[in-house]
Amino acid sequence: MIYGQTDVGNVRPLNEDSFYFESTPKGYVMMVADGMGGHNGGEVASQLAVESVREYMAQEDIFSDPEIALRRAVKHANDAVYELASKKESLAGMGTTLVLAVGNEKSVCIANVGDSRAYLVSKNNIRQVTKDHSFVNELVKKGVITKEQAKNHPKSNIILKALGIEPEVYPDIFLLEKKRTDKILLCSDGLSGLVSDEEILEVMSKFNKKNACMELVRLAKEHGGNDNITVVIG
Amino acid sequence: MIGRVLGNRYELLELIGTGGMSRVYKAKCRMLNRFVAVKILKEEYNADKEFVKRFYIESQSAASLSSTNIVSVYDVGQEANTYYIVMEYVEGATLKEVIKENGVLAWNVALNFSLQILSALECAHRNGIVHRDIKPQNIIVTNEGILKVTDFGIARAVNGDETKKIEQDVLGSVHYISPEQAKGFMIDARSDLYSLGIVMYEMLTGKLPYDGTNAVSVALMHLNSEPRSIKDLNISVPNALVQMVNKAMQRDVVNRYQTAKEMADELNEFKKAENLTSKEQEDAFIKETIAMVNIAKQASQPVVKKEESDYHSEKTINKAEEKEEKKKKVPFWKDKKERTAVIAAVSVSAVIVALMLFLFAKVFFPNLDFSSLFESKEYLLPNVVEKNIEEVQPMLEAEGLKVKVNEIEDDSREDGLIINQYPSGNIMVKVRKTTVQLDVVKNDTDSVMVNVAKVVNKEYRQAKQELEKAGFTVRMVEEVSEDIPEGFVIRQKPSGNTQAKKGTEVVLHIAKTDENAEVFVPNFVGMTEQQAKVKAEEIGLVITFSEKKGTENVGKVTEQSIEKETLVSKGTSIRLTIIAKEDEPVTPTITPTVAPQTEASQSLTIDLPQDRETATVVVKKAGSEVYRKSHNTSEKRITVTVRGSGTQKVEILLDGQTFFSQNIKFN
Repeated sequence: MIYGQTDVGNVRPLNEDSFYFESTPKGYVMMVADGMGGHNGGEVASQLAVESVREYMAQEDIFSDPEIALRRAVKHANDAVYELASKKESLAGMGTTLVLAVGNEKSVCIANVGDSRAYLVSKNNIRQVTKDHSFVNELVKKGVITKEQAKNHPKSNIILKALGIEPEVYPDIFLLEKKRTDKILLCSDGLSGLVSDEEILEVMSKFNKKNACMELVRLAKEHGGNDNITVVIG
Repeated sequence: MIGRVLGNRYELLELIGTGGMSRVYKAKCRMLNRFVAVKILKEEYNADKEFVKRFYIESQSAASLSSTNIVSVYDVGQEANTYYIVMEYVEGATLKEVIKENGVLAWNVALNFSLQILSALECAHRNGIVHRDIKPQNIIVTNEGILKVTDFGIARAVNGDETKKIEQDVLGSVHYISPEQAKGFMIDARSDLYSLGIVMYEMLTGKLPYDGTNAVSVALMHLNSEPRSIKDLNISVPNALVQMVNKAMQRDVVNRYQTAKEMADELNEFKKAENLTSKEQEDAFIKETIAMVNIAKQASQPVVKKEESDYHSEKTINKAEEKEEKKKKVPFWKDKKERTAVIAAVSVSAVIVALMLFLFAKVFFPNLDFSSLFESKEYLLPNVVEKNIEEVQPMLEAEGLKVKVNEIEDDSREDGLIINQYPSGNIMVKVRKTTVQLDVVKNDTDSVMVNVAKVVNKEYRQAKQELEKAGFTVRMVEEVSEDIPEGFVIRQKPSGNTQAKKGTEVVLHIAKTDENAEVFVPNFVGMTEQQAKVKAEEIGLVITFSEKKGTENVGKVTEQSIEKETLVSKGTSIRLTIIAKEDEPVTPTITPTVAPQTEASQSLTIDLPQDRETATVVVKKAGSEVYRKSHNTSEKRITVTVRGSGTQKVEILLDGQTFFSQNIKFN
């Protein structure tokens, strides 16, 4: 089973996150998108990205070669958001992150653009699979600042890649073997920015998927909830 | 929003800018009968109570700042769900635009500008306010030739709570951030001085000291790279000034100027030593500044048409669209070029009205100084540019103003046309004290002999501007030079300080680096990616990196495709192998791949500028030159075919100046 939950958080007036999941006999699909842009651009971009991926997945066999399917789905979504952003002036400059997972019990393929995250969570261990396309993460990678310093960096809102900004976008793709009991967690930075990896692991080991989603959202809000929070666990 | 009245007194007239978190309107203050700028917080921030509170506190502290060089904050208010700040309405151009359109600034101008920015910083720092986002986009050069810094305190209010942004949109700020800001550390007033150092570097060289295509590389340069020396880019800057800029730009805060005052003192001392403090010089400086603002405001770009050769369908990227593009990114004070003259009938004569105004204002606005209101009668000076002197002069004189006419020769315009005014239009002036200066076209039939300025060793754009201002036409000839930096004048004909008729063509030989020159390949092994990039750029080599996983020498170059000490021609491409940290082996990361694409061609139609005889057209695709040819402008319009695949950035340069840069879809 898969569960997902989204919450506007404590301070933002709009929820610009979107998510979707679906289980089929062949496997499952799940995704989280976190939009950005003025007016309601962020909302439109994340919804449109999720819709476009769904649309693509409905028409194509995505499970035989998930890597290719993910690349194409991301391209499809990028085209849609980019086109609308260039057509409608009030939406100019809108964009969205997207983390997208396709898999079954034994393996999973994940595509990522932006700073939403995918985690692989086993019984005693949590590992961040995706690498944030963010300004601060890049500084961490270059050894300029520590992970700890990155957390409170005033420029942590800057991302380096997003869907809908450029005519082409190339996602990172991750292929993972997993155990049947391992779980995949997708989230927007409204969760990962406020709830530590250790806290996520603790919640996941205590609760079932559905309650874990609720508890994680609650924790993020307790810690300030300064952004929209979305979490999907499968 | 237009037409809405906030706080029962600010009538919104037009949207003049959109920033990251606010929209700015030109408005009329009904109570004081003057124009103001009203900054309205975007609705997406309204629900964030903490943010709104910070926004208010910061705005209020900014309102306490009183300096000629700071855009004044008059009032903050709230009406229903609308939060706003009322500010001084300033007309002019941003310093960014002034630099862009005027090229390198003369060092004495840059010095004066820096001192004005410092006076703003001194005032703010003394009141405990650090700006945090000093950049030329936040500095306005007014129509009166004064610099005004805006947005004090705003950066602090948004700190940490900003919505998600893509790096392209923040690159403008990253160019000017201090190393401690890049790291996300606590900052103080010295951070503003670093940013000012970067702004000074840009004014003096026309280039950013740290420039790259993305925010991360620029941030890393602030932390690790040495910029090109100012002297390399502009040999005319005095050493003492170079040293002062370098001191401001020190990476380590303890090596910088410790206060704005310390820096201002040193700059002032230098100004005195250079004998630049006389009244005449200050006046000349103001005049020059006003001229530069006008150039920035009037800058317009030629029209480019893009044709898709396969379909014959035409897409026009016209001026209007380009302007729209610009508008979106330009901050709020961006001046409107065409402004309808508003000749408001201000009831200046009625003392009663003035008194009432005063009483009202005193109640609602206790901190304002109204003494000036009673000094003499005021008049809303209309915009008279583009009008004829014969109708304007009697009108202004009838109001009691003094008028001074400066005659300007301009063959292309009719006699009597006003092309410039000072003070500019739509501002309140004190009738008794004001002399309106008007630049009026007056063409002499007989040609006069004028002095040809000496422009050798000056930067081309600056030299050209200077000569054209004196009435000469300028022709550029490129010449390979080893010692004179690219873009600077090697020699001129007729030579400097001689007399020549107006309209004479002055030929300038401009230095150009020899693209066919050969260089020795340096030893890149052991360098970091950044060091290698800097080295390669310095020498004129192109490098590409290939990554290899490893545990030793992480981040260092371990191999180079061409041996060191090999003699190669400039522009040769060298592949460097760099060691990347071994990843956790469980997850194979597949790096983005670009599917091979077939090439297609695009035709670019370029309208040649008609203000010169020849123009060198350069077309670049994805940064590399694909076309270079000098054209006679009598050809009027040329077509250049470019081949490419996918979407690639295409740039067109005319005589070295970019006027078109856009992503073009080839297939």
